[in-house]
Amino acid sequence: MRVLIVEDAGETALYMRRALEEAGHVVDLAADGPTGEMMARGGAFDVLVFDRMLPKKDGLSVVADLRTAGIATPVLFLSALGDVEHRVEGLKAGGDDYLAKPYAASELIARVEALGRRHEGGAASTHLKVGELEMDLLARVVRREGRKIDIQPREFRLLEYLMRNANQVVTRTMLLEKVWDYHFDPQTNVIDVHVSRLRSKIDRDFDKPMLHTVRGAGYRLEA
Amino acid sequence: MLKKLLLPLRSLTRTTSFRVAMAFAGLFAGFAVLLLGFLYATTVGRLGLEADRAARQVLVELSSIWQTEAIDGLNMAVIQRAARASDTLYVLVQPDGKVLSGNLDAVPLDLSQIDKPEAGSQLNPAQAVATSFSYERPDVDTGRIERRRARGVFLAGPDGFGLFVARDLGPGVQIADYVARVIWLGGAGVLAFAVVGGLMAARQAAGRVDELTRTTRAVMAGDLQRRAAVRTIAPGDGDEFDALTEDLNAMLERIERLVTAARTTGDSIAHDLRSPLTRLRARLEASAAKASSPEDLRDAIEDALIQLDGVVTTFNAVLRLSRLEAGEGGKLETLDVSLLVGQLADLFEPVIEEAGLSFTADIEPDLIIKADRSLLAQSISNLLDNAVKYTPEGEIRLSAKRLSGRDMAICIADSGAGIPVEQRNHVLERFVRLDSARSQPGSGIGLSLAVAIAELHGGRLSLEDGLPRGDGVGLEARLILPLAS
Repeated sequence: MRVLIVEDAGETALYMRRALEEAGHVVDLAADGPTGEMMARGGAFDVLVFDRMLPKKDGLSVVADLRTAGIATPVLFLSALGDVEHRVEGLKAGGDDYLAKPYAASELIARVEALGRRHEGGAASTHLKVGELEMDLLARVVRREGRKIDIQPREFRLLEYLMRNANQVVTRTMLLEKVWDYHFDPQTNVIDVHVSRLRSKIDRDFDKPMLHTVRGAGYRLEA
Repeated sequence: MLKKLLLPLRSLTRTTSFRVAMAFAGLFAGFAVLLLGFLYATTVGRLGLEADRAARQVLVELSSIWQTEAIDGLNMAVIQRAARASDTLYVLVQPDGKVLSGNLDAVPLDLSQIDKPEAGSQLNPAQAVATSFSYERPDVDTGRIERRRARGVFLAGPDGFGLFVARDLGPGVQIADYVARVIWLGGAGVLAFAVVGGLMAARQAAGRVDELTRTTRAVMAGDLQRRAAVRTIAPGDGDEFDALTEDLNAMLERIERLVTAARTTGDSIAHDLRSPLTRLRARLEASAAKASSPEDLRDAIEDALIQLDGVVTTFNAVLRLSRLEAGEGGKLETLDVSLLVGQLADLFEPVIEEAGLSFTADIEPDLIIKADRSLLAQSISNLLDNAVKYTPEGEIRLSAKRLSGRDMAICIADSGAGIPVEQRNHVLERFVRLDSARSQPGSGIGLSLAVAIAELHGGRLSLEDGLPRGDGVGLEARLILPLAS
């Protein structure tokens, strides 16, 4: 995946580049708003990562202008302003996701990859398949190796998200945000319990586990 | 001494109130003078016109006598008339300019300037020369000499004699003069009053502005509790100064809240973050000194990361709480609470059951309120978190129901450790964690956050008796919110 990072704090930018490159992505850097805008208009990037506050032209304005110019590349905003209304501002300006500083490298990578994949399309399909695991979104039926798995509605949404991001790390915060639409930090491990219940349903009676815990990061559904 | 007295006077004359008073007084005075001038000119003009006509009529009568009976007949007539008329004045002058007869000392005209008709020509009253003049005569009743005004016409005859007939303008002029004098004096009086009144208004306004100035200066100097004195008035009766005073006080209230919030933010950050940071530092220090293998170091670093995340979470909560307490943040929109509580029940059910507790949710449908979904969800989530944390066994009940009146309640009841009645209000205050809670993880600001969020929604949080457990009773957190109208 080609990623453009527009971030004025040099050390942070280099650290982000190293993390994304280690995850196998190609990364370009820009250090201010206008440069970032120029590169975003010119290059073929899969994901754009914008800091909200940039020298010369702030990230919100740059992204709003890119959207007006018809550039639809997914944008992830990074910001020290983490409150809900800031997030809403970011999404209104044309951002696709919003990550508050400080963040874990795994969180950044997971979100960048999720955005890149979503851009590849396939979001409209009504039938998902990961290895031997299949989901029919219309009939709301889940099968593994042809056997029907009984699943609750809330587990269905969780599994759908995991299947759409199969073979990728998804973090607990991403699940809370994308599946439940909450933007706060629950102190208890609510997400873990939901995932482990889901895991008991899709993995228990089969030899090969599909739903893996990635230590210090989140979960990954593997084919 | 004098300078001392004049100095406040000078500063008063520079005030807006005084200037406005002066401007109005000037405007009124100017208007009065214009009106008066116009009234006077038209009155006197009209009286003059009437007198002129009357004088000419008499002149025509006398001219016919002059023509038919010559100068002797005219002289006779003038002597007779002058003896009885008081408002009509006559003078008959000889060719040498001396007065022959009449009731006036002289003709009030420069006779040498008047053209003499040719000898033998016809007497023509139309050629008479008119003039306005004043003269003195004793008043009929009091006998006091008074100056009066009259209008007269002079006709020079071909025989060299000249006849002057005049008519007094009458008492109308006196009245007009009198009125004019009264208005002049009255105008001066009005101006004097305006100056005094303007000074008084200026002084009063200056006094009230001074109160506002003193207040703002005191606040600028750091006395944040200072407020401007408010007059006791019935609601809606106040003037613009009362409104300004109230607005100023409201503004100071807000500033004080913001400053206090900024101060408590600092305090909270110190209070809530210092201990986890201290622990983190100690842990890292110990690992740096003692770790003997790369595995030990990795464990230490991973442990440190988890603690660091906890610090960030607490930091965010403190910031959010401070913003809420400063009255910032939160966008209230129409929200179906029944739906939200249902979703949260769904989110928490597995974790509660995993903790070995039974869970029931009893949610009345269609409860609509004005709320910030995210904040309200956080608040309920905090209360559920607490319930799970402090309930070792038994059950948790979540309910949402309509109350009598325009309120609704979201209740989280548990069969946990509970809180003694006398400590319930205390735990809602900031920074407070009961000693029994110190062993549990958490920053202790979850409840404060729930209180602040309830207040943002125009509601409140109360702690009541919860579900019974063996030897006592658990806790019920009750979030009471107003229903949307």
